Amino acid sequence: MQTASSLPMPVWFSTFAQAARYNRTRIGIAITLLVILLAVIGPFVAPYEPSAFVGKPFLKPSADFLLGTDFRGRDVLSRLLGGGIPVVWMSFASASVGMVLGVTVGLVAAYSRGWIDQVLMRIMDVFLSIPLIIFVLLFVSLIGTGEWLIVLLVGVAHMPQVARVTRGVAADIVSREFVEFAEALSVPRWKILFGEILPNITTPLLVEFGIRIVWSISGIAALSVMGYGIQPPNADWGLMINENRGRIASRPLAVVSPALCIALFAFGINMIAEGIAGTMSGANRKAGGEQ
Amino acid sequence: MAEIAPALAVEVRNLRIDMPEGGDIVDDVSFTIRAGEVLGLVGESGSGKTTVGTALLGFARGGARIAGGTVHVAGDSSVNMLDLTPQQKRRLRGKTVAYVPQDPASALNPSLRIGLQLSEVIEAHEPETPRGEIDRRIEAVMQDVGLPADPAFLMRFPHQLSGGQQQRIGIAMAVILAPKLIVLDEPTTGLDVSTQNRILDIVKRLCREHGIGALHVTHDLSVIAHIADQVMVMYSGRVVEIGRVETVYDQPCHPYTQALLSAVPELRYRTQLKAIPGHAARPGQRPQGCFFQARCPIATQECKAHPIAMTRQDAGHDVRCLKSGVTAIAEPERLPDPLPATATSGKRPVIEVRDLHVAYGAFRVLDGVEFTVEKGECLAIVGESGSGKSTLSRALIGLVPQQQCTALLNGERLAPRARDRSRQQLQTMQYIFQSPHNSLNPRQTVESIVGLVHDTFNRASRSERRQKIAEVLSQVGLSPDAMFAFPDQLSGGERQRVAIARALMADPQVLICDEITSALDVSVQAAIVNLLKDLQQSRGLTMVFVTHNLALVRNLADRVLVLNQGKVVEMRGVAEVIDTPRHAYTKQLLANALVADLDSRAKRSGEKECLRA
Amino acid sequence: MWRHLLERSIYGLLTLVLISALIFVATNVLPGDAARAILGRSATPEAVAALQAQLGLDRPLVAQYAGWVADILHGNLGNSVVTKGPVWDLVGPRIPEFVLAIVLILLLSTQVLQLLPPTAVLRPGQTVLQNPQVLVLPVMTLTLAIMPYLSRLIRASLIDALASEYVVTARLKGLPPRVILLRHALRNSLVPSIQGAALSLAYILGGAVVVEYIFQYPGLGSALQSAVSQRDLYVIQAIVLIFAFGYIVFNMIADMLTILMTPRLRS
Repeated sequence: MQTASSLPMPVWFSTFAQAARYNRTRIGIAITLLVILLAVIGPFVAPYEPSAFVGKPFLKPSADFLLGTDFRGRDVLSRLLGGGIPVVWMSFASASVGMVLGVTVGLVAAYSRGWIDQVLMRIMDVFLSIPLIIFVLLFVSLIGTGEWLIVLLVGVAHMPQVARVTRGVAADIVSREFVEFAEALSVPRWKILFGEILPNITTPLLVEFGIRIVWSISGIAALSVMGYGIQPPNADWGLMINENRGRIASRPLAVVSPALCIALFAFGINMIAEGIAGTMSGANRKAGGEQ
Repeated sequence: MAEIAPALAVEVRNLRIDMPEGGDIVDDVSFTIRAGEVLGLVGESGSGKTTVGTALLGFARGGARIAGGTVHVAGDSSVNMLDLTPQQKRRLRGKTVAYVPQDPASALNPSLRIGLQLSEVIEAHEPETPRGEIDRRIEAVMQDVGLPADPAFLMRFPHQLSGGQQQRIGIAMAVILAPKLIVLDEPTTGLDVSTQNRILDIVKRLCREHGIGALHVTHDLSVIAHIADQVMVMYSGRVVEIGRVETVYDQPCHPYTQALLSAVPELRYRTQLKAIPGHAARPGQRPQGCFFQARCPIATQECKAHPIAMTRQDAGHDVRCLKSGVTAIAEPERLPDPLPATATSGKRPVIEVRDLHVAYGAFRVLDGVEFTVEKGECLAIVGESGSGKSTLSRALIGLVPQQQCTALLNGERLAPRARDRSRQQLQTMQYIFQSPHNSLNPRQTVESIVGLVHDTFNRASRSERRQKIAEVLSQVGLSPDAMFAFPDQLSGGERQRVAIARALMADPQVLICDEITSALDVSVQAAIVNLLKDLQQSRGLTMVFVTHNLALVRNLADRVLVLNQGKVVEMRGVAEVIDTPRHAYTKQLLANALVADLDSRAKRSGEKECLRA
Repeated sequence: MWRHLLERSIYGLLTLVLISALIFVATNVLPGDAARAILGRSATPEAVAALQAQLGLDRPLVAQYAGWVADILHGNLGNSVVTKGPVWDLVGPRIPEFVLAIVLILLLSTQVLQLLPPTAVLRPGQTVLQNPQVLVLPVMTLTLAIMPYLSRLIRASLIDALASEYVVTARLKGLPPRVILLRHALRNSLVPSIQGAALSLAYILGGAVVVEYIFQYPGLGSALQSAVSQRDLYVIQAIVLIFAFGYIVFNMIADMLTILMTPRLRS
């Protein structure tokens, strides 16, 4: 009999290690780290203040302004370096909110089965029928905007999908014998949900988390583009796209550079999620047991 | 009927299959099968028997590589199955060499009608066959396997068939083009004994009638006794003994074969089952010399020195052992049957169940079941699938909220739902599940798994808790180190021991075991059964043992409760029920079990007729 | 099987009702009164009260909701606060193009239309569209957005199907590879793909709003966006309801297709 080393690795860590064997995961990790680094370090290395007016609007790129100036005469590069943090933190935060809410609902639904399951999932369906952007727009138009509000709304908008996925993967687990054993032992329900069932679905949930971050990125960026995210004069990649749209033909850099950063961030997370998803199919294959 | 030289269905020489990372799974495998005969390939987990089976079709799962050897089918020594191109193999598969899968439920495509899954075999290999001829051949093969041949039936989807019917379709798909050789991969796993017997009869008849040679891979020695002409025993990737079934079963020459046969419970009388200490070495960790040496009671230095070759013991009987023929493991000794339990001992039964009803909608799973369990006894609950025996045990432990019944545990009322029971009651009764794979949380260490039970009933410091866990692990024969392992690092037998340890952690009075050895190898089963008997003695445990295996019941239980379609049919002492059954259904169960029973068949020479259930 | 379909239809209807209630509550309970929005900030309290009475805004909430539902069932979506004209005039014409666009996007992203020459897409035969080429860029954008997700899903489910036990059996029966792929694997891999397509719809609907904004395409999405920025409550309600309705219908179709393709659920 082979024993594990006396310190068993947490599940998610070994999943990451496994996923990191794929090239695409490595690329994803590299790109994501790059973007995060850019966002975090950026403000400290920016040549100018992001909100400072340094020249005439829409100047061509030059030695002074490597990416030119934007529609109000601010340095694009500085705004780029300073505009990453909102996108990064808000997308992680809203995805986390969505995960916490959705996983709880999904676990309760999967475990309860019967009418609780039906009711919860129908409620989720209701939320799901309203697309993320429209949901947020609806509330934003009535309440007003604000960073934490956006995070909360986007998080709630994620909840139904996360709940659906959680319920889907948990449904297989809830009828397994080790869960029945815990039931026969009258273990408290929350302990069963989070102690017995949850550890068995971490991998698909990690993938879902990655997908949620990607959707958050695009959703929040889109909201910023439409004017509902970060308010001017703060620097924000989405906002930059909106602000500089007017001269996109002649001065593409002011729009393209933030758009590229957003796209790269989403791409990187996506690759990581795909890598983790790759480990999943293999793991499922191996679960056959001895004869 | 007279043939000068009986045709060979297949001749295999020096088959070797390697793992993807190098190192062999099986090696030096050679055998022949005559047309119309069945070779039973028996071995436990890790023996490599399944790999040998698929290799006859030139196929290896999971990245394993067929590294060497020759497979000549249908007496054609010019064509080596293993050397063919994928194209050529494809043409032979299904037509000359066919495969009957283990689990028909997953082997049949759930979205395709069964008629199509049959006709496509013909269409793939003989595309010019006219539709009328195809229909005729399907009709013929359906009759052969004993299924209706009408168009309505053929339009069904796999999920609309029973397990036995699905398996017959699997057989039909294999024989529809009259191949020379079929490979059956444990085709009767999970089927009732009666269904199993019927399927085996069909296979045997088809082989005889159509001159098909068959390789039947199984871990069940009684299946071999039923169906095979020759038997080949594999251990740890090597053939250790091969010969006619009567010869090998009557006088096994290899210590492992002897050990296997000593681990099979008998129907006619109780025996002291013998388990084999230790484990089979995994591929890549095999020792020099004989692979069985570590577990063999008569191994010497010579056995450990060099690889052992097959030697001829008798005509057609080869053994891979330096001490071939020596009795390494004697036949198990007979034990007396348990005395019939006397309810007048004055003590109250531990469990009393009156009027147990469980229904799902209109369907009655359990109908007015009534019984008691006396302190210290082992009550076996026996039935086929659909009898309700699992529901019964699950109702006892509180996992069937829909039940209606009056149940008492030590005189106190037992609530239908586990959550409504007192802590005392929860502690008194513990449950062990059938599947070693599913009953332990794969994401928790053994320590957490057993610790869950500990924490439910006790409060202790971390080190105290660990100590208690180590203690209970050693009581079930595991080293305390096992607590740091995850379930998938343990073998099936070890996992069941963990499940038992987990139950013991609560210090219960009653253990409810739901088919806990059905998924285990026979020698592992013997070890678990012996463990349970020891625990019963040392702790004064009361046991409820659910199973379909009557021989196991003979060996372990004091009383038997026979269940048929939710009703109690018979409940008496184990010797009485098996030797002198009263109810017709019990007699039927016994007749089926007898067909599979080693003792009554293996000693019979020559005659191979099978009993009809 | 019909029982399933009936069940699904009822659930769909129920969901629609719940959504309408949600929308109604959202637009009425939260700050922002319709009457005030119509009359603007400088309106006197008396004028506001008068309009409220006229619009029935002083009735209890439940009565208002009932009235609103009754109106909708009669085809009356109210009047736009901004244009003062019927909402239906603003929204109605944009619906057919929207539906067509969605269908196109789905077909393209699942590469069903891959086999057709690209020019066919640019010359749809429908007369509904006046300027089909304007549709191309937004459609392309959204297609590209969801294509990676969908094609990956289809590929993954196909791989899963190919690794299943019944495919191994098919190989051991000696079936030719093409038969295995088309008859055995594809059939069973379609169901997850259909579900994935239905899910993508939510994204497309949301994405449409953004894309229309960026490309300044006068579709339902941009109508919603401008309605939101102008607090044109009735338009908001109407469009969100239409989106929800479309999503539910689409999911029902996906559900029905799933049932049809899974023999186990049909009996």
